[in-house]
Formats: sequence, C-alpha cells, structure tokens
Amino acid sequence: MLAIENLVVRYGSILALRGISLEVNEGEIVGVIGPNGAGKSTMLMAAAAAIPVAEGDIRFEGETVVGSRPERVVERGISLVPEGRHIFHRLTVGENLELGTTTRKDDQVEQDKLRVFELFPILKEYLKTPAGKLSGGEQQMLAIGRALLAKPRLLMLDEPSLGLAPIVIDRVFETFEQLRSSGVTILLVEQHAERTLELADRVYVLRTGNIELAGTPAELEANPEFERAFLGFV
Amino acid sequence: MDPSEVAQNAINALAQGSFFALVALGVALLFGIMGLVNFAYGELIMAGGYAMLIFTNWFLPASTWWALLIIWTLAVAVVFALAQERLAFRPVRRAEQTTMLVTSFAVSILLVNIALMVWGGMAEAVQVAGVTLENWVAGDVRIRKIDVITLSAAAFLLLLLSVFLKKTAIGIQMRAASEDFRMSQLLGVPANRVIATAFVIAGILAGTVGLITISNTGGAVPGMGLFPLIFGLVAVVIGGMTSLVGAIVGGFVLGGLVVGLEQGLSTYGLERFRDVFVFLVVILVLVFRPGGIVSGRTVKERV
Repeated sequence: MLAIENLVVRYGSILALRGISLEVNEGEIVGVIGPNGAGKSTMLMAAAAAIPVAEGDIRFEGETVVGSRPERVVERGISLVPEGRHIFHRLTVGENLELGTTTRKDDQVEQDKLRVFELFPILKEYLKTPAGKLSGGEQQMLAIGRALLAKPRLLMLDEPSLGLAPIVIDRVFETFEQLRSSGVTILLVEQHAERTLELADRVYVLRTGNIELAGTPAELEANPEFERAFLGFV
Repeated sequence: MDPSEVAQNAINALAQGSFFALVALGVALLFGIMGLVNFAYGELIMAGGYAMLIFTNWFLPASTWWALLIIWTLAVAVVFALAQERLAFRPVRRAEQTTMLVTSFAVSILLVNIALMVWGGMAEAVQVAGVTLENWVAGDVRIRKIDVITLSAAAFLLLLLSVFLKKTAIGIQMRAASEDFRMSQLLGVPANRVIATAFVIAGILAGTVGLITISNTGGAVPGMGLFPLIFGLVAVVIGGMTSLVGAIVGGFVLGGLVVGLEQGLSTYGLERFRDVFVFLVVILVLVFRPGGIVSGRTVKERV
C-alpha cells in the first residue's frame, strides 16, 4: 500500500534520512520505533508531502506522492496526525472536526462523524468548546478523530502517546485495534517501544536516519541485536 | 470639557478608529495566514484612489453613479490584490519572512512609481459625491456625514467578515490556517485558495479605505496609502499581531489615542507633535505588552 524506497531527506546540509526503505501492506499496523532525532517524524512528513524529498521515492498504491500538494495526498487517502497533535486551539471542537472533512466530496460525512463520536464520546459533549480547553488526552482523541474524518485508508500517527497518562494511552491504543478491524491501515511512529511491539504486526527500528532492524515483534525480541539497539535508547 | 465637546470627540474617535480598524484588519489578515507584513498594502489603497479618479474623470459623475463607483473601486483594489499575490508573493511564499518583507517593499515602490509616471507627483482632484462633504449640526456638535458613512461601512464589513469566518467552510479554513498553516495543509486545506481568499478580502478592505480617504481629502496622490498603512500597522502592533479581534481593538484604541492626543496637546500648542506621542505609546506597548492588547495565544497549551 505504502512503499518508501531509498528515501533521502535533507535539512540544509543535515541528512535527516539517509536512504531508508519501508513497506506498509493493506490492513497492517506497522510500527516505527527509535530515539529522538532518528528521523521518524521527517519520514511521516515526507509521506504526507509536507516537506521536500532529496532522493528516493514514496509510492502510495503504486503512484508516487513526491512532488504532490499536501491536499492531494489527503484526497488520495493518507492522513497524518503529527507529533504534538496540532489541534486548532482557538477553534471549537466542532470546527476542528469540520476541518477534517475538507477533502470529502461524498455524502457519508455525517455518518462518519457519528462513528467518531462512538469512538470518542467525549468529543460530542464539547462540540462548541474551544479545543484549547480540552485536556491532553482529549486533544489527542480530537486529533485522531479529525484525521479519521478525511476517511483515510492509511492513517499515520506520530507519537500519539506523548505526554499522556498511562490510562489514556491504553484508551488511545485500543482505538488503533478498533480502527484496524474497520479496515484502516496504520503506520505508527512511537518512542514507546513496548506498546508498539504489543500492537504492531511489523516493526522497524530507525536510528540516525537509517533503518537498523525490521521484523515482526517476535523476530525482533528474539534478535540479540535488537536488545542492544533497544537498550541503546531506552 | 462640556458634554457637547465630549460627544464631538467621541464621534471623531469612533470615525478615526473604524478607519484604522479597516486598515489593520487587512494587514493582520495577511500576516496571520502567511506571516507577511505587506508594505504594498498601502498601494492597494492607492489603486482604489486612482480607480475613483479614472471613473469620475472619464466616465460618470460620482453623485449619481455612486453605487457603481463603489463597486468599481473595490473591484480594482481586489484585482491589484490578487495580482500582488499571484505575481509577487506566491513565488516567495516558502522563502524566509524577510524575503517576503523585501518583496513587499519592492512591489510598493514599483506601484508608487508607476503612479508617479502616469499621473505625476501632484494630487489629482477627484469629484466625490457632495454628501461626503456635508454635516449634520446638533447644538455645538457637528457630525460629518462621511464619518457616519465610515463608521457604518466599517461596522458592516466587520460583521460580514465575522460571519464569513465563522459560518463558511473557507472561513473556518482561513482561521485554521492562520493558527497553524502547516496543520491546515495536512488536513487537505488548499494553501493557494486560502491565501488568494485572504488577498481578496484584503483588497475589499483596502478599496474601502481608498474610498474613505478620497472622500476626506478629495484627491488621489501616489503616496496616499502610506499614512493609512503606517497607522494600520501601529493599530495591529497595539492590538496584537496574531488576532483579528486584536486588530479591530487596536484600531479603535488608536483612534481614541489620536483624537485624545490632538485635544490634550492643543492646550499646550503641541498638536504638531501628535505622532511622536503616538509612537511613544507604541514603544510602551512593545516594552510592557509585546504580544499586544489582545494576545493571540490566550489559551495556554495543555499537556
């Protein structure tokens, strides 16, 4: 579904990604773990066509997204929930959700909103509240709900557990399971390695712009090198 | 001060304030969405002024055809705004803010000089509708009709803009883009459309300011956009760069300040130094409340 091939991204003279390759198949939950500054967020931003790519290719369902406008990528079915959630604080919860439907042209929007409220009932209660007043966990739910309203086939999440209480993280990770069973493919970037290993079908370990290891959680846990790489950043 | 003097000053302050608020709103709108301080905004006001000159000199008298004159003036200002966006600012949008700033100076200088080449440096008289020169008199209070028109136009446009920003999809997208442009793009908001819409609105506001300026001064002149622009910028700084409400508040505060200073200073024969005191207040605001009166980030981020 998503194929990243020899991707190189530069910030000025700094190499953020040094030629990584990664694949996400339909229906999978793929995790990417790695320390701060490994290039995880950069990879997602490139896949969302929000930053320029120096070399390599990113293809979604066979067609490249490199050089596309970000809105075209959303239309084609990729949504990104960036690190730090980036909800619009001054807009109401309802307006934030409405913005999630920007690229929608079909008539299923209202039904999809109901589904989001089923997933996150709290959002329905706060529709007219400025989103900045929500707690961190509620903001994360809003960010995910907003992304879902674009009806993505691939949902990319950047550090969704960051700054959240453990009980809230449980709730958020539960929804990923639910989303998968409803047919959404998920690419999850996390520093929280343990949770990611529990949830994901396959995991990549990204470090200083390179993919160091890849495999199923079981394969990785059995790999002594993983232990070493893992201990290096936990 | 006796009551009629108070009333007179209040009316003057409101009229001045709504004029500044209109300019400030156009400046703040573009700054909020693309981080652009557009010094060529004054030339949109000038474009409106010369559009009025062309209309009244070459085509039709303003007194009978005033409605058409308004539409024509606003349309010309909007065309110039869109041309600025497409030809000057879109190519440098991804560049640094300073690049955009220098670009806006270049556009400003270019347009002023084109006006100088075509019409020369002297003001060209525009025959405006007579109503703009008339007054209502009630006791000692003299109300200029153009002030009432200014105030009503500002109120109408502010109301219209607020409904547009709250109730329409593109309006909500614009508010989102001005809070977090990158995120709005990640949700599929088309950058080009949002920015072009902001320029259209800025053009309408600038055209209105042009109409009001010409109605007050009676003549079009190449540098006519500078005074409104500088005071609009001051209003934005006072009110807060990141909030449209702040721009409006800043406009009215500045209106009150200007009228108040004129009154206060004239007692000492210092009214010529009004602007010195205006900018002194700006410096004080920047020192003690750098975010402006209405700070855009009123809601603190919660984790």
